[in-house]
Amino acid sequence: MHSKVSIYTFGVPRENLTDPKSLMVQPPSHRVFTDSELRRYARHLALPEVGPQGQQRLKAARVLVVGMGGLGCPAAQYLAAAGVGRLTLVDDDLVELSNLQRQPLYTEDDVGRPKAEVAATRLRALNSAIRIEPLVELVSAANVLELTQQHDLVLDGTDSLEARYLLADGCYLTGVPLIHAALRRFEGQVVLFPPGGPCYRCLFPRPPPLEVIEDCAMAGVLGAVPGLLGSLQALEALKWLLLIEPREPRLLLLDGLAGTIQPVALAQRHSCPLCGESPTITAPVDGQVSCQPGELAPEELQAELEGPAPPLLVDLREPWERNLGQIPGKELHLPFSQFAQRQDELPREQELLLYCHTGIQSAMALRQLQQGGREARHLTGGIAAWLRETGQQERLY
Amino acid sequence: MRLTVKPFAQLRERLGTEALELELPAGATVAELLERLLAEHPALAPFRESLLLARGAEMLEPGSALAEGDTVALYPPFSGG
Repeated sequence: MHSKVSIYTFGVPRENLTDPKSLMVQPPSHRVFTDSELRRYARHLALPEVGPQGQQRLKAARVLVVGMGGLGCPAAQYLAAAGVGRLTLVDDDLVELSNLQRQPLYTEDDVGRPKAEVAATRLRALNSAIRIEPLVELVSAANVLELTQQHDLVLDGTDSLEARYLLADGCYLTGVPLIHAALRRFEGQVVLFPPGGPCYRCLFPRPPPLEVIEDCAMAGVLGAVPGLLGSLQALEALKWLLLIEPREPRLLLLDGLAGTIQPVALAQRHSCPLCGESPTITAPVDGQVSCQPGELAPEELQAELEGPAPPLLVDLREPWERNLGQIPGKELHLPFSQFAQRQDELPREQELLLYCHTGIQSAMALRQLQQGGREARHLTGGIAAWLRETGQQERLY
Repeated sequence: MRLTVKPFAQLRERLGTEALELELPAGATVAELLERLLAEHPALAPFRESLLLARGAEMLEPGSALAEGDTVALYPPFSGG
């Protein structure tokens, strides 16, 4: 198909219009868009801060979006719509019914399908002129440097601190700017980390231990909060790509209940372990969020349950969650909210295996037992990981 | 000098309050404030190396000097997405 091409004169300063040379046809690589592109991006072209040159910058940009959840969906949607030329979408998760409450790229028919692939299909339907590559994989120390250096800008929309530290280290080590976004209930942060620092570790030098980290499954989240933060992330990304000021490193703190956004100017920490004066982190590493003794992986659970001495399962979830499914076996129900007061009721003569929804509360409960001198184990990743392991994705919540 | 510390996100629940009032010697630094907070509130201990302190629109470093009447915001890293 032959596409129609227009030569236009937007962006030519008014005083130059009297100079006939300024209306000469410019090299097509800089000054040419198809008619359809001119129509599609008309509202950008009308903005003095964007114009045809800015649109060309977006078209030439390669952006990596890691995590296609509550943040990645709106962020990638706005970047694709804006005409960012190449988008790589990374997520190793499948769409779950509990995602639809806040991840509006997905529909009921997508449940069980890889998020990255579904998102790529939706975004291609939104803008067929850009290149979108889905990657159904986890970011790890093995691939993070290669991924970041192939892009001009990285957006972090993951849901674990492990991935966030890894991505921040990878971006700093390869000199790629990072737009970070993260949330907890009604509060959230969006941060621009430019190449060379300040970096994420200037804010939070090292991750706290696993048992105090919460994710959305545990803390709960109202969909509009990641919607707002993902949109802010896209705005910061577009401003960076378009060279729109301000571009100083800064943190935006959203208080969704108060309805405020507090900007905080970032400073490079001299003692930063990554970008400070004597860095101790010089390569990405896996397993930065520390684990503790007493963990049982979901793939080991079945063998234990069928073995000669199955552990006594202790379900720490709330009653409504138990209606959605339980791990079959000999069990006790002790909601986490009552754990501190009632842990002495747990039988001492049996081996205990604590479990919850995602493995966070069970890790906290295990820590409490261990501090009291008792031994027990907990199921890493909780019933969610076990349901995935045993092919029961449709029962995830 | 008198300071107010405002914890955010799960730190608010860990400390069980929206704001802490405390008294520090004049000229105290952020590092001294942190040591005091960690000593008086063991619930903060897991976040020892994971805390961001800010005064209004300014990020504070361990060596930053504090002043009478400052309100210091205390943030943990957020992980949800």
